[in-house]
Parts: sequence; C-alpha cells; structure tokens
Amino acid sequence: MKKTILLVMVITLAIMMVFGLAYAGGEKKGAEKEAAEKAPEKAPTEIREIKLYHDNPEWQSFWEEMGEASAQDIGVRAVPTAFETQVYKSRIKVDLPTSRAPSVFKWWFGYRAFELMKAGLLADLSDVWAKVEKNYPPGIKEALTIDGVPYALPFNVGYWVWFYSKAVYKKYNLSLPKTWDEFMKQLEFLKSKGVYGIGNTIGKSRWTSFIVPMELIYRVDADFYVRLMNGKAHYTDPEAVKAMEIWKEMLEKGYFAPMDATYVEDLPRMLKEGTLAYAPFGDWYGGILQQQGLFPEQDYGVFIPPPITPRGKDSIILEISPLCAGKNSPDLEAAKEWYVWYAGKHSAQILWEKLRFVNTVHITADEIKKGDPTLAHEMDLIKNYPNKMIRFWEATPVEIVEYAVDAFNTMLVHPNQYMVLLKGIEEKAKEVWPKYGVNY
Amino acid sequence: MERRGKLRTDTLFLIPAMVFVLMSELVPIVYTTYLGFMDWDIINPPKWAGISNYVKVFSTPELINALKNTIYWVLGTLIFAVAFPLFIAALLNRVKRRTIFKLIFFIPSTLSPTVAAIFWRRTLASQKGALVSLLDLFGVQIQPILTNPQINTFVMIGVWVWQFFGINLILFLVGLETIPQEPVEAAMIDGANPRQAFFRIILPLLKPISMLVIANALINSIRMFDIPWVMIQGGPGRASETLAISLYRESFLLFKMGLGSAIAVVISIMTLLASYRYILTLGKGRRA
Repeated sequence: MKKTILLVMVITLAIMMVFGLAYAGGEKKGAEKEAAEKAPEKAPTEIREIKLYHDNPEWQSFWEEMGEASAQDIGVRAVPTAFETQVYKSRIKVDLPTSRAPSVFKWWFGYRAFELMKAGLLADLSDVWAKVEKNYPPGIKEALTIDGVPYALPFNVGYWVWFYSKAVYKKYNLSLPKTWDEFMKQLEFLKSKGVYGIGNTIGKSRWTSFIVPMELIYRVDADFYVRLMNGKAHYTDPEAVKAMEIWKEMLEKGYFAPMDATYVEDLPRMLKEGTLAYAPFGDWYGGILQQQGLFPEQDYGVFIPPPITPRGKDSIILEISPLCAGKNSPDLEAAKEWYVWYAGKHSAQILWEKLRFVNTVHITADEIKKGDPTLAHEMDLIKNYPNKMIRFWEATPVEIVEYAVDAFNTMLVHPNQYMVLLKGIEEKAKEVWPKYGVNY
Repeated sequence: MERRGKLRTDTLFLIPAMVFVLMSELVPIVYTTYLGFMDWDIINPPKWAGISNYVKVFSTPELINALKNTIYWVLGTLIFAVAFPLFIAALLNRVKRRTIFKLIFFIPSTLSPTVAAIFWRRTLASQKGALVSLLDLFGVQIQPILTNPQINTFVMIGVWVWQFFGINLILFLVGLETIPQEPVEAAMIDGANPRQAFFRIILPLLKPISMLVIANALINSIRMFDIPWVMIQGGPGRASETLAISLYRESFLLFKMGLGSAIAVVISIMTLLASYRYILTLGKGRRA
C-alpha cells in the first residue's frame, strides 16, 4: 500500500516536473478545434438531473450556472449542493457506499482519494478520459490516476502563493522582499504602522491553520518537507522545530491579522482597504478576491516569499482539486456524459470567467494575460520554482493532517506550546504511519 | 372483565406508537451502544475494540477538556439560566405591569440557537463586529473574543443564557402566578418574613415547574452543540469543545465511529441521570 501511494506521488510529481504541467497557458492546440466543446444547435428537450456536491458555498452560484449550461448543451443538469467543509467530508463518506452517492463531487487527491479508491467507492473514468484527454495539458490525467485507473477530472490545478495588498505597497512605497530577513523587517515595519502583516486566520475555517507552518517548513528545507509528508522524517526533527520557532516568534511579535477574521469576507476587504499586507493561499484565492470586488494588479498582486535557508529554494506547493464520481451513483452514465461536456470549451470558459481557473487547453495565454494579469504573472513566476510539492492536506495521511490542524489551531493562540504540540503530532504520526506500511 | 377488555383495546391503540418508539429510539440506542465497543471508520467493516473507546473518553486530554467544558455549561446554565430567572421572576411577580418585561426577556427565546450563535458571532467579531465598532467610538480596543480560549467558553455560555433566560423566566412567572396566596398570607400572619415565605412556602409550591425548568436546562446544556460549533467550531484547536462536539468531531470528522458512539452513550447516561428526578416526579404526579 505504501509503495502504491509513494509510487503515485512520485510518478505524479515526475510527470508534472517534466511537462511543466501548470496551466494550459500556451498556444491553442488542435484538440480545441474538435467538436466536443461545441454546444448543440438545438437545445435538448429532455433534461436529466445528476447530483453534484461541493464544499465551497461561495461557489454555489458558479455551479448553478454550470448546471444550467450543461442542461442547455447536452440535457444533463448537474444540480449542486454546497456543504461546509467538515460536514462535507462526512456526508461524502456516508453517502458513497449507498445509492445516494453523488454522481459528481469535489474531493482532494493523494491520501484522501486513496482511501475512497481502496474501498471501491470511486468510479473508473477511463472511458471519459479516452474522449477528453486531448483537452488537457500533458500530465494531468496521470496526476489523477491511481494504480493505472483515472478516477477524476481536474477542477483546479493551482499553486500556493502569497497575495499582497497593492494599497499597502503603494501607501508605504514598499518593494517585494528578496530575502527572509527583509521579509521579517518589512512585517515589523508594517506592524509599527498599524498594518496587519499576514492574514492566516481561523474564523469559520479550522483547516487554514496549517498554511503558515507548512509554508515555513518547506522554506527551511524542501527535501525535509517531502520526507516529512512520506513518513521519512519526524515532526520533532530540528527542521520542523526551527520552522515552529520562527512561527512562534512571528505570532508573538503580532505579525498576524486577528484570528477570528474570515478568509472569504474579512481578508479580501482588509487587503483592499490596505489594513492587511499578505494572505497566503492557493491561487484559487484570486477568484474569491475578484468575487469580493478586488481587481488583479490594481488591488492585489502575488509573490513567492524567499526561502529561509538555501535548502528551501526553488520550491512551491501544488494543489490539485479533482472532481470524482461515486461508483454507486444511479446516475453514473449521465454523469459521464456531463464529464465529457465539463472537459469542453463552454465549461472551460465559465470556469475561467467565474473562478479564474484554467485546467484545459481551451484558455489561451493571451486570454489569461488579458483577464487576470496577476495569474499570468504567477505563471511566469512559478517557472523559477521547479520543485513542485504536494500540499500537506493531501500529501500525508488524513489522520495526521486532522490532528495537526487542531494542534496548529492551538498554536495560533498558545505559541509558546509549540514543542508540546509538535510532540503530540509526532505521537499521532507514530500511531498512524505503521497502518500505511511505513516503519516510522 | 370489561375493564380487562378495555385494557386490551387501549394496548392495541398503543401498538403503532410503541413500534414507532422502538424503531426510532430503541434500535438506535442499541446500535450506538454496540458501536461503542467497535472500531469503525464507516468505509471498512467494524472491528471489536472492547472497552477501549470508553477508556479513551475518560483518558484522552481533549475529551477530558470537553467533559470539563460541558460541566461549565451545566453549571453556567443552572446558575444563570435557572436560578437567576427565578430570582427575577420573584421580583417581577410583584410588579403590576410586567408584560413589557416578559416580552423583552422572551424575544431571544424565539430564535433558534444557530441563529443566536450567528448573530453573536457577527456581533463579537473583531472585524466590523457591532460590539467592537461600538467600543471603537469610545476609543476602547479589545482583542478577538471568540478565538481567546481563556474566555470564549464563558462568553458562549453567556449567549446561551441570553437565549434561554426568557423562556425560563416566563415558566417561573406562570408558576408563581398560579400559586394560591392563602398559605403565603397565613405564613406572613404567623410571623414569617418574605425570605422565609419564599424559601419555605413559595419554592416548594413551585417544585413542579422548577423540576421541569431544571431538567430542561440540564438536558440542553449536557448536549450543547449548536452555539460553540457555529461560533468557533469548538476551537481554537479543541479548546471550547463540548462532549457533543467531541462526538461529532470523532465520528464525522475523524471517522472514529466507535469512539463517537462511546461518547454518545456517556452523554445519554449523563442526560438520563440529570432527568431522572424529573421523570420520577412525573410518575408520582400521575399516581396521585
């Protein structure tokens, strides 16, 4: 089992690195000309409905629009239901073994998908991929494949960057820090001006607590991060301790926004108003910022903080959000038709216009530059970061992630307990890894 | 004979209700108790775990903390949502035009706990929250309240009391209004002071209502979930978790259905013990 997971991850990463996965970004491919994406001339008379579950209430209207578009184009309406993330995880697991299984649901890859696959709850989407593979850049299908079977289509493929407030930069005439020391000095300066440095809060979102510690750990030592994710290094090792000490110092110095702020409503407003300088998130956060009325390059930009030690350079975190199908769903055939539509141009256009997601070859580099110059800039930036590593949330066993997320929540309010918390995570890792065949 | 026949007919009429109770209550109780002795992650088949889940309930630091928080909720509710309304009801009972006070105190009770929690979460938010904005006008700055583990449980108990206070006040007032005045007046004539009259005459006569209010308060506070979950998800970390939140977290977040079921059994036993005297009182009332 351990070998399977490691193999999947290694293959995924290798393929991504070789092909520079990222976004289609580049030139239009011949595939685009093909007819799969064309809307039918006549609207279908009979509409079939399939269930689509997701955990982003802020994107519910987007999914409704997608549902209407697919109903018009192919006669299959994906009816979306939004859940709060914690409720969502349990709802999916409870429904999947039954005939209530959703036809389409957003999930996370890596260990979180692996347990569903192992239990035989995910539908094999090989026949869908046979029709749509040409619509995706090389490497995507392989990234969503376990033991030779593709179980998902990509919803988002993104990188983790730091969004910064243009208002703050303009007001204080700042330039992007080139070293970690410069970054810390800048945060100190911002604090002296009454500006919150980093927006990494837990108001209405428990999961967000892992963002900063992981951003710090891999900037201390990227290789250590990979080993830690795979059970080859320990949470009490000096690299992890160093990262936690840096985080503790940052927390104690007051570089963070109030912990009860919400990342969907409060942080965007604070970035726009110029009361918050940075917010570290996946590049999907750009879509949320735009939904909240911010404009790329005008209100916000992105940057990748410098490494803390030389062993942390050239590295960036990668996140893949897949859409999976429940094997027990009674509407699986209709869902497969929907997936073929989803991989087409009409769907890609809605994804781009509403969420600024680019997964297929349908959206060109010119369109990206015109529609979201910040995302285009990010695409340029990540070319300098060849070491792409899977996000903590998916990269390590779920039991460790969930325990660590609670520990990091506690860290936010009790920074001086960092060693106790690290030891707690280490104990959990010792308990969990052997179940995955890893001699920890 | 006729009486026995009537009893049989009565029993027949009871069968549908009994089947419903059996299916909706007894089966889940038995199944949950059974799961408490198993390890189960929903996806894979359950495995026998003995009493290990019950041992964990009383030995895991996070669950001990949840038990402690639940006790705070119970004590807070008994003091501020039962004893205090009783005191206010006794005072209001002497006021002639008390309808307006009843209305003011009762309004929060019309909200669901979830709505009350959202309202107070927004009010207490450090970003554009009503309280912070109000204090800002006076130049007072406060730290985020809900993410402060030293105080957030007590603040949330306050929200619960705010919501629960009114209904208890009304119940006590109704009780006080229905108490016959003769024994109170007789006691006063015999030389009892108001305090003695209250504790020795009025309070015993209020017992049926008091038992109802106390049992209701105990049951609701032992199984408290909505307010701490909606306001801060039992956080930060697991700092303000109650047993009911632990149940949810262990079962549906961490997928330890066995441990979650063991917590559910513990909560049920606590609730049963808390309501035991009330149930006994009901039985006595019927026999009388």
